[in-house]
Amino acid sequence: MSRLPSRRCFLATLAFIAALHAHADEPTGRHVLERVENLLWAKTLQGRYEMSIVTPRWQRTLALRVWMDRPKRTFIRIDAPAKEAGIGSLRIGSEMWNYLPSVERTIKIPPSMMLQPWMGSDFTNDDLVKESSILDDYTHEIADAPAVDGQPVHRIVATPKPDAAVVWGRVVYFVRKSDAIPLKQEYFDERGELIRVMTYTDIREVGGRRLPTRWEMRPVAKPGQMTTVLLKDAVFDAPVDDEVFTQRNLQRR
Amino acid sequence: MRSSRSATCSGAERVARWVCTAALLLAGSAQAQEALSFSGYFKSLLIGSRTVAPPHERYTLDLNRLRLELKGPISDRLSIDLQYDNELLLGDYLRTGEFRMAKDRDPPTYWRAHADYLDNPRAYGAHRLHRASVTASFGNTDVRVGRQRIAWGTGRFWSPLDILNPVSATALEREERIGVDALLVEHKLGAVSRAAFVYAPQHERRNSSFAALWHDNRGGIDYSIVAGRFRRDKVAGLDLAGQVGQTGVRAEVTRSWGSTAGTRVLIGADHAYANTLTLSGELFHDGAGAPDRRRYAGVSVRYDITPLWRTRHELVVNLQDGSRYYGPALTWSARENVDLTLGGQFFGGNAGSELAAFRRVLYLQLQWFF
Repeated sequence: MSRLPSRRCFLATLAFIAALHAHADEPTGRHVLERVENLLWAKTLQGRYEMSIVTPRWQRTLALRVWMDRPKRTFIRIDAPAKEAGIGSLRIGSEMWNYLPSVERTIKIPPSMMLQPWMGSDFTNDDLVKESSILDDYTHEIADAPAVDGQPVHRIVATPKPDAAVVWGRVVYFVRKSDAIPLKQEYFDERGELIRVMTYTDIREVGGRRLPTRWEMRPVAKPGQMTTVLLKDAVFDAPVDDEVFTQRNLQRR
Repeated sequence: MRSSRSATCSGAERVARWVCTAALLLAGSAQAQEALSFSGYFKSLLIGSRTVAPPHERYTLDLNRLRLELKGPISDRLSIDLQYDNELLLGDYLRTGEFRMAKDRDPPTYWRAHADYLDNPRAYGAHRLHRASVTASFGNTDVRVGRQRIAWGTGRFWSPLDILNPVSATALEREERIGVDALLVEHKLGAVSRAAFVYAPQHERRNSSFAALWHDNRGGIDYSIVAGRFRRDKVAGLDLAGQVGQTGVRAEVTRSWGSTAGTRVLIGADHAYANTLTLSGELFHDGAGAPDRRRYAGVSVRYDITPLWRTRHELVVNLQDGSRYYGPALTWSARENVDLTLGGQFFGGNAGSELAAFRRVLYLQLQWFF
């Protein structure tokens, strides 16, 4: 006659199955950042933004229109101020072109220029046109972080893959668990030094979704300086005419 | 002389007045107000130098330019680009022989669209149409007629393919190109590819230009193939723009047959650093030039000291006779739309060499954009 499983063995098996099930419900870091990216940028985006560069002694504000067909295509047009109005940027894949009305010419941007500040701001060209991908160019580790305003928060550490053409040593995200709204991003260089911090505030409904509409980027080494991006309005996940992402459109006003 | 010039250009000026009147009417219409943009700038450029020709008179020149721009769509298919310049020149440069020759020179355009309204030893006032074109769009095809910029080529200092709006590498206002009066037809083939045809007439028919261009992108490289007749020369050429690693690379080659026969080759490279330092370099071989004016090098260094202060340094060298040009400039963004630039042009070389013939220039420029 065979022996039946002991009660202790049976309970241990039940506990193991329960633990597996609980672990399966925990999101991965990539999954959380996918939700963040989709919240902020969707699959397609047509939006108006205002970027203000603030230092202790001066301030400049730019008005932009942005079209995105993620991940491959981005088009940006500067509407104001007058000095920069008409400048356009087109990215298709890893290639980028700028149109400069002052010389009435389209020029191809070398890859090295992607890391330069965009129009004197604390964002780089790469930040604006989104050539590099936080999802595809990085690996992700997720953990809990202290609650913010009583709301539980994920902490995700994104570390670049060895062959990724990115300048950061790691990027740390703080994301609200309930709705994947980002709260903060910390950018560290390859030596582990904190270089800049982005905070997301002013959560309200735009384009049919609730998202932070005020993004502040502060360079750690320059106290009192920051670049603020305000989302004025946006349309998410609507078809964008392919004509937008062409050199012909780049040279139009 | 002024009356004969006025007689010959009256037809063109009528056209210019018609275009401006039409533009103003269009700008006033409610529909056009939605789409057209009105902008421009005021520039005051104070220059101190000496005349190139003997007796190398010392002079100052204050060039004041008001540019008014009206651009954008006026209907579903039509758009306009109108840019009107009004210039007032002051200073003792107006009393030099060099200026007297320059102001009477006919511009190299089909339509004159230029007239002076003030001409005395102390002040010279003139206005012109800098750009005046209408574009009609039919599906993927644009047809543009009028005075326009046709920017072919990839060069910054030199560009063998940029034949319709050429400029000198040492020009003080290099970004200001005289427009070409032309018919341009462009057909979009893809996101970054197109075929184009241009016809630029001249009053003497044999000096007219026509050319075709094919522009495409393969494997991350932009390239263009051009063939045509520019004035009395047949020209065929190719340009490329791509990258090697993180550095942008550019090249142009043209072969011409006729009065300026020869091969012109340009290679260039651009590299930018995250701290805003940007380097550009070009080597140019002008096989159609005079024997001692065929090989050049140019280097440009740009750096943002702060987001408000930018410095630029350019060096051009004639590699054969050793003459050189150095152009430093410092620009301060005094207000959101106001730039102040202090700069110079310094020329050197042996007596009789190409660039040594030019005189040192110091300048101060105020530019207000609106």
